Order: sequence, then structure tokens, then C-alpha cells
Amino acid sequence: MAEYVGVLLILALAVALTGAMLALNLRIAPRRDLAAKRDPYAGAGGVRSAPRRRFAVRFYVVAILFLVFDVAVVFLHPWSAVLRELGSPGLVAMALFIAPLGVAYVYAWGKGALRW
Amino acid sequence: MTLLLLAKTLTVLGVLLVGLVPLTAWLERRQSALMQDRVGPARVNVATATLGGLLQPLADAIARLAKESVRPRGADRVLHALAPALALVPVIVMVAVIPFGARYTIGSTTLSLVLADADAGVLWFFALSTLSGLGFVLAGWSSNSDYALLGAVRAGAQTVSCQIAMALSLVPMFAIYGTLRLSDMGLVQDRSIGLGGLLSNLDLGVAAEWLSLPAWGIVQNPVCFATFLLCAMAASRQPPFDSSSAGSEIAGGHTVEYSGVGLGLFQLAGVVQLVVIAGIVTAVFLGGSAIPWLSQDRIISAVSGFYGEGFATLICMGAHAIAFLLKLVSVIVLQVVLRGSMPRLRDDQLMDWLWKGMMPLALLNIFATGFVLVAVGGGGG
Repeated sequence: MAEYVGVLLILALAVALTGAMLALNLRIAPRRDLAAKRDPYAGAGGVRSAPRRRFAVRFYVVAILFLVFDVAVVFLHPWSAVLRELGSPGLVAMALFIAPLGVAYVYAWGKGALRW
Repeated sequence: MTLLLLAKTLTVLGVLLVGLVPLTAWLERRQSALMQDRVGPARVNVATATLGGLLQPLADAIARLAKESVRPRGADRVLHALAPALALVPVIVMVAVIPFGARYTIGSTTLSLVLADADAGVLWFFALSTLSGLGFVLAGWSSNSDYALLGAVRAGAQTVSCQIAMALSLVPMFAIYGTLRLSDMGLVQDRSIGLGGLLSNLDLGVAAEWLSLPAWGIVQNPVCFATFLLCAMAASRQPPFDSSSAGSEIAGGHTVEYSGVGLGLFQLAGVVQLVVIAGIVTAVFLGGSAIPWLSQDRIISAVSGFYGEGFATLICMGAHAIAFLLKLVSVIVLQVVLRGSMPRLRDDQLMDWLWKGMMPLALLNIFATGFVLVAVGGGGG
């Protein structure tokens, strides 16, 4: 775990740096409050709507597909690092593991889940 | 040991924030200007010397810090303030796994020019890039603005889709190198592949040694290089994959409601991302810090004749760091060339390209490379 001390160190410094920049901005930036300035941007016409509205379902579909495929990808990483030692049995095993995923992929494509 | 680590951390942060970030910000503006037949930044000067616009990033930084940060009515107070930090901090932390050099032994101490020589270095890059993407999604979500929300959901879909394509695209390289540790990849690439075939029949003498290709990732699997670079650029939402912040379409998308330091942090995150992608591409595909045809042993043995081995190792370390930085900057230039020469993908085109183009291609590349590796039983991919 010793190699991760560097990560912690740079994390602490990055947080400190970001915090310092935010604090400096609070300190030196002017603050002039105007009602119009706090209006959310709504284009040249200035027509406002309710932003917290519903949006297209396709974004949820992408999230679900992501979960399905990403879990499989995680298995590929350790497998790839030792593929040379595993040899052809390893390759066949992974092909068998990925094959159902290929079926799911073709099904999702056929159902139009990948169509935007 | 702790002191050495602290010194290394400060050096890496210094190289990044004082050297590479202003240079990249300048390249982005100056090179884009050249490509678009514009003059580019030409106003900021010290005693009338503009230095080709090199002072512009500094002026921009001061301007962002000194300007008011406006929070729109109805925005989520906490999330709106925290989102820029969540976008920036992970991309800075990514720098920890970039190997700026190989591993060196002087006397009894071993030195490496990487902050965190993690055995899962590349996974850190994947995980943190998603975390940073969340910062952009939160920014758009918390702003209480139509355009920002649209940018946020687009950025979210893009982040997760790119994640799969990007993670798949590097698997062939892991198989070829047999490791996920970035510094080990550099060591494996520090050699040459003979061209073999006809050439081996010719009597070339000494020249034969130089008639070889460096065993870099880009030579062993160029398809992998192209897919990873494009997916990584898409994951960092830079043009032409910037439909989530498209200026001419949704007015800046997720960052439309940011001003002052918040906007500055998002822009800084974008620039650091360019540097980190260049760093990973260099480490995995361009031989890391290796100098073509001059392996580490060769440099050290050649120089130690004159100055002794300790000093020769130091010289080699310096040459490696310079070689790495040169390669890194050239990948940044390549990224700016790509973003300057392609029109923006519409959000549906982007998703099509990722799900129906990059993902099958990357998966095919995995099994093609795997097949070759198993069939050859070692050797190149």
C-alpha cells in the first residue's frame, strides 16, 4: 500500500489548492447583487421554463446499459494482464464469457436501445 | 523517505501547474488560431512584449480569480459551489500515476520518477476520469437552468459510454505488456523489434542494429492507439466531442451558469485533462520515457566510462525526463490538431459512434490481439 501515499499527498495538495482559489475569489472578487443577474440564462428571448423537468428516457437506458457492460469490462482487465500465461484456454474461456454479452448487445441494438 | 516523497509531489505539481498547464493553455489558443487563420492572443504584454501570447494564460487566471462568482436563483447552494472542485481535484490526482521516467538504481537506493507507482495505475486513470465527469454533471444539474440541465444529462450519458469504450480499448495493450503498471510498460517498451524477414538475409553489419523499430505500443498495436486516444478525448468532453457544452448550440451547457473562479476551475480541469491524456498515451503507446534505439543500459554504460556509473544514471534520468516531456507535449499538439480539424459531433452521432463504432472495434481488437498473442506465444502483437 506504500505506493498510494503519493496519491494521498497529491490529493491533499489538490484539495488545498482548490480551496485556496475559492477562498481567494471570495476575498477579492466584487459582489454587486442585481435581481436580473441571478436569472438563469434562457437565451436571447429570455423565455424561462421550469428546468427541473423530465427529460428523454434514453438517458436512463444508457445508464442501464452502462451497468450491464461495465461490470464485464472489469473482468477483462485482470484477465488481460495474465493472458500470456493462460494461453489458448484463457482466450476461449473469455470468449465464452463475453458471448452472452454479445447476445445482449445484439438484442439491445435490435430493440432500438442504441438508437438516438 | 517521506521527505523525498513530499519533494517529488511538489516537483510534479510544479511541473504541472507552472510549466505544462500554461503551455497547454497557450498551445490550445495559439495553435487553434494558426489553424483557423486568426492572430490569436496578442494583447497581453509586459513592456510591449507579447511573447506570442504566452502571457495570456496568466492574465486569464488572474481575471477568473478576481471576478464575481454569480449563483443563479434557485440553484442548489452546496452542489453549485462544490461541482467545480469535484471536477478539478480528480484530474490533478491522476497526475500521480504518470511515470515521468523509468526506474534507476544509484548505489543501494532505487529511484523512480513516478509519484505513485501503483500496480493498477491505468485503473486509477479510468476511475478518476469518471469522478471528474460527475463534477460536470453536478454543475449542470445544480444550476437550475434549461441549458445547463441539457448539458448535464448529455455529459452524464457521454461519461459512462466513453468509460466502457475507453476501458475496452486499452485491454490489448495490457495483454501485450502483461501488466497494468504504467512504469513497467515503459520498461517493456525500452527495446527494439527487429524487422526480420528479408532484411535478416542481407549482410548489413552494424547498420542492422539500427534498422529496427522501437517496441512502442503504437508500433505493436496502432488500432489500439487510435481508439484509446479518441475515446479519452471524448471522455474529457473536448472538441469535437463537446456536445454537452456546445457553445453555438446550448450556450456552454453544464457550465453556462458559472462565472469567476467556478468557470476558471472548470477550464483548468479541461487543460489538466489534456495533459493527463497526453501523459497516459505517452506512457502506454510512445515508449514512456524510453529513447528510441538507445536503451537505458546502453546510455548508462556509454556515459559511465567517462563519469562513473552514479553520474551516468543521473544523466540518463534527465534525458529520460526530457524525452517524456517532449513526447507528452507532442501528444498535446496532436490533440489540438484533432480538435481543430473535425466538426462537432451531434449528441446522437456521438452516442452512435461510441456504442456502434468504438465499442465493437475495441472488443474485436481485444480478441484479435489475444489470438495473435496466444498463437505466437510471445513476441509482438
